[in-house]
Amino acid sequence: MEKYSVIGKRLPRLDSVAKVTGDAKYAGDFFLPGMLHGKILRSTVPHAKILNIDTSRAEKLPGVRAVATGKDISDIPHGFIRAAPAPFFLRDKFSLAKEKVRFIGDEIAAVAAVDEDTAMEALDLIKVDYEELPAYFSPQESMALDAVRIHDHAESNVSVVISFHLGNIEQGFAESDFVFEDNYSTQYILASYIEPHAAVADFSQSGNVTLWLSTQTPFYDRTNIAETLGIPESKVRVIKPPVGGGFGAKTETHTLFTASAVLSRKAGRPVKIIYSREEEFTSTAHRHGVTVNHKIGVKKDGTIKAVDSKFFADGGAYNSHSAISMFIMGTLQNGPYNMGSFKYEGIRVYTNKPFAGGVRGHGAIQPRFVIETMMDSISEKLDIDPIEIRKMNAVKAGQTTISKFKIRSCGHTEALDKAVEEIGWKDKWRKLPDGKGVGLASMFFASGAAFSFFYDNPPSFSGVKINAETDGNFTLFTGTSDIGQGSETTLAQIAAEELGVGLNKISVIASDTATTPLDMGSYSSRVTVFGGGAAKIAAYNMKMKLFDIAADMLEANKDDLEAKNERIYVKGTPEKSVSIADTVIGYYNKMKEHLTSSGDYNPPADVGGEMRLDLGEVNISPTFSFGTHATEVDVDKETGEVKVQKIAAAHDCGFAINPMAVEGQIEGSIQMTFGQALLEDYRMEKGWSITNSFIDYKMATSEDMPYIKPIIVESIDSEGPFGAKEASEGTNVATIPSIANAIYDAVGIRMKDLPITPEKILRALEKKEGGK
Amino acid sequence: MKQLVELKVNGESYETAIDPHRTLLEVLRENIGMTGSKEGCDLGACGACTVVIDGKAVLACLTLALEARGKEITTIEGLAKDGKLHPLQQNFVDHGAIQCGFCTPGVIMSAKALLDENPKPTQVEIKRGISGNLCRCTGYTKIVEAIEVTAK
Repeated sequence: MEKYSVIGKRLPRLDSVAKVTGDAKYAGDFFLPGMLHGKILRSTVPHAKILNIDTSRAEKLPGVRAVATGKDISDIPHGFIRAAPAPFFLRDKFSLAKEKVRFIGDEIAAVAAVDEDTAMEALDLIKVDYEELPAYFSPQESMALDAVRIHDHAESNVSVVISFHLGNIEQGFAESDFVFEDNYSTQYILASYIEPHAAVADFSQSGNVTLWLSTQTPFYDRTNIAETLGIPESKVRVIKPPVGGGFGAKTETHTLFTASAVLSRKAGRPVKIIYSREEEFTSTAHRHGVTVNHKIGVKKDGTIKAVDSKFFADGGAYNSHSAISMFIMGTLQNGPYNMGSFKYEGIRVYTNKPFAGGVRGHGAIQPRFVIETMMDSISEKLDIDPIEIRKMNAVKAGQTTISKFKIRSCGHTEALDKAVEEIGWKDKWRKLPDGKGVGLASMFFASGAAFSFFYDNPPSFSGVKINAETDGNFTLFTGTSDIGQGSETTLAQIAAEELGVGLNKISVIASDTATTPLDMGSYSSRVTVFGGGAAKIAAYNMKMKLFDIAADMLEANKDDLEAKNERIYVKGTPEKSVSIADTVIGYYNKMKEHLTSSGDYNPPADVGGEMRLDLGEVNISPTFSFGTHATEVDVDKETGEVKVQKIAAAHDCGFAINPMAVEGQIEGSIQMTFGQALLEDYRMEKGWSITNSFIDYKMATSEDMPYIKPIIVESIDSEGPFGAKEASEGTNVATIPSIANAIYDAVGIRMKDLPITPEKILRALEKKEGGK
Repeated sequence: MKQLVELKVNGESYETAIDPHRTLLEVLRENIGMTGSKEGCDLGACGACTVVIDGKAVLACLTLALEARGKEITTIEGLAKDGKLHPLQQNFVDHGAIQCGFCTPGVIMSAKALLDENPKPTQVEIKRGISGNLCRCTGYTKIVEAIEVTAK
């Protein structure tokens, strides 16, 4: 008999029928009676003091109902990190500018009018007087000693510095037989969800505001909106309807969320704001572009002894996740290999560009490109098989790393073996004709951040409540945010398995700050372990309450009961059973109260703790995923074009609650990293974005994508629900270096600057041929 | 100056007064109340607004509502019949071809136009048929699979 009846199954998402029929209502699909349309006035200069904003002509335009500026919001800025001690408390963004603008696209004013055309016309009537300041478009310019400060609170244009030293690298390098040093760079890319940001705000006469937002973090938004409006949090209700993708950028409380509420309060009518695609490109959070200097010391047998890593990140105009981004770029280098000793300095610099925040694979993508490419160089130089060097240095289950990560389960070796087998490594590596090659790269990732970045005293990291209904159905309330990854279905599967009922017996009510328990949101690949963990506990607690009643009804011992097939049985005596529906009725009759349960997930005691991002010795997550991508490419030496034929992507997700969903995460996440490797590049000219649409910004289409073979590895984790770990961000971290390494196998050039364009390939080939 | 326009959507007639510059997408969503067709870029670059007009996949954000007069417009809302999903819809559900779902209506409408014209497309033809529909969630793998299964 199969061990499980609901989990481990390829079940369709709960919301799939709504999504194939057009029934699913996203934030932009809400039309409320009397609703106005809001638009945002954005800066047309990259850096300036605002001398005056004259909104009088806009206010007089017929059809305009409200105009808002920085004067209409409180003096509390926002940013992703709210609960950290100094110097990591770095909130620096106002929804509407106060005194200064810092990039082209920075928000200055907002208008609500009876229709979009009128709102657009009103924007043209707002007159802003600027005193322009020198603007900086690269960290180098911005860090010049005589540079004007972009933010007054910072002593220079350095936004944040995170540095730590684990072990003793002086000794590590002294013990190394070889030291490899190299420089790398990566570009700004965009999250590029298909649904642009949308907000509908309805501020009532009683002083309450309800918002429907396309967000990953409704509870954070609630706080930011309350603080921006200067009203109690209890007056703000944020509802997250279906969201059309987020990929990290929707963890920001972007201006439309607060501005729609401010405008609705002023106008006394509901206000909708939807960002145009151009606004998405110019004014929402991007992935950090970085330049890197990296040094690795190794013994001649391949053992890594020391790593010295310096990251320079272009942060754009505001902090956003800043300290976390820079922390992760360092700390997530401590796996899947033991680094011996490790030193890191991450410097994030303000520039007059759209700000950088968290994007899928946050902080892991950039260092992984560097490390895995260097691992390839090292293995070649030392004449050690690239598979072997990745195995011999690997962390192991049960081990604690120098960064204090406790490795509870580790499918690194299995993922590596399966990925290379799938690509046919033995017959292909160094054996394919010139222009064809295979490459591999391994990775690991956190299953959720074990810090409360935002709240000082949250009730828990994730809470779930379950109501029992008399027809044997259950309603599960969760604050987690399904942004497309399918987490509502995952949580429902977990609860159904625990309760012994089918998936169709679970309804999910999610992400409504007024009705669902607090959850921190969808980021850091946290939902399966944290939200799923809470769902499992809540379902178990419900089951125990049912067992108390059923034990009486069946005249049995509670410990002898089991729940399956929608009934409660006495183990080993199948004829003694009672339906769950009848047990619920029995509960009501006996207890005279509603039957509810709750569950809260908090990381175990050996995880998290004080958020000292400067120490680097802290277990950031309950558990870690592992994986390897093996990739085959063709490189056209005439045109420089790289054609990726296949990516074998093995991912250790602990246990696949829904294998179809895990495959979907692997396949989909690679669309982004395949794009970052070869196609996607957010480009600017003097602070103006020149990639403002999907026509200029090249994202992979169905015709561009290589064949992806997802391979699920299950290491059955001791902490995650039913052994599950993350499968959403880690799934794409190895793609870029696996492509770069395959290019090296194909034509013998090391690509160290992203994206890898045909021009760069041809230049590198010329250099290589010229050197001969 | 608003103009009265009659549109035939999913077999039913809708009469509404619109400014002549309104796109079919805007009129479907705002005047007729069918929000299944999505606006992802308003520039004809993402395909989320794809509908079928007289058998052809068309970008509703680049089509004036006035141009669609007298034509048969099919939107995602018109595919399921008598409470039964269209085979494409059912296969998208069963094969996990949906994640965030925002591109889904447009992809399904492109696939429908493709299959109506070419009931047995090759995988290459399927990929070409939906190449105007961007998806950031699925990598297109399960979408292509769902369309292939439908065509079998």
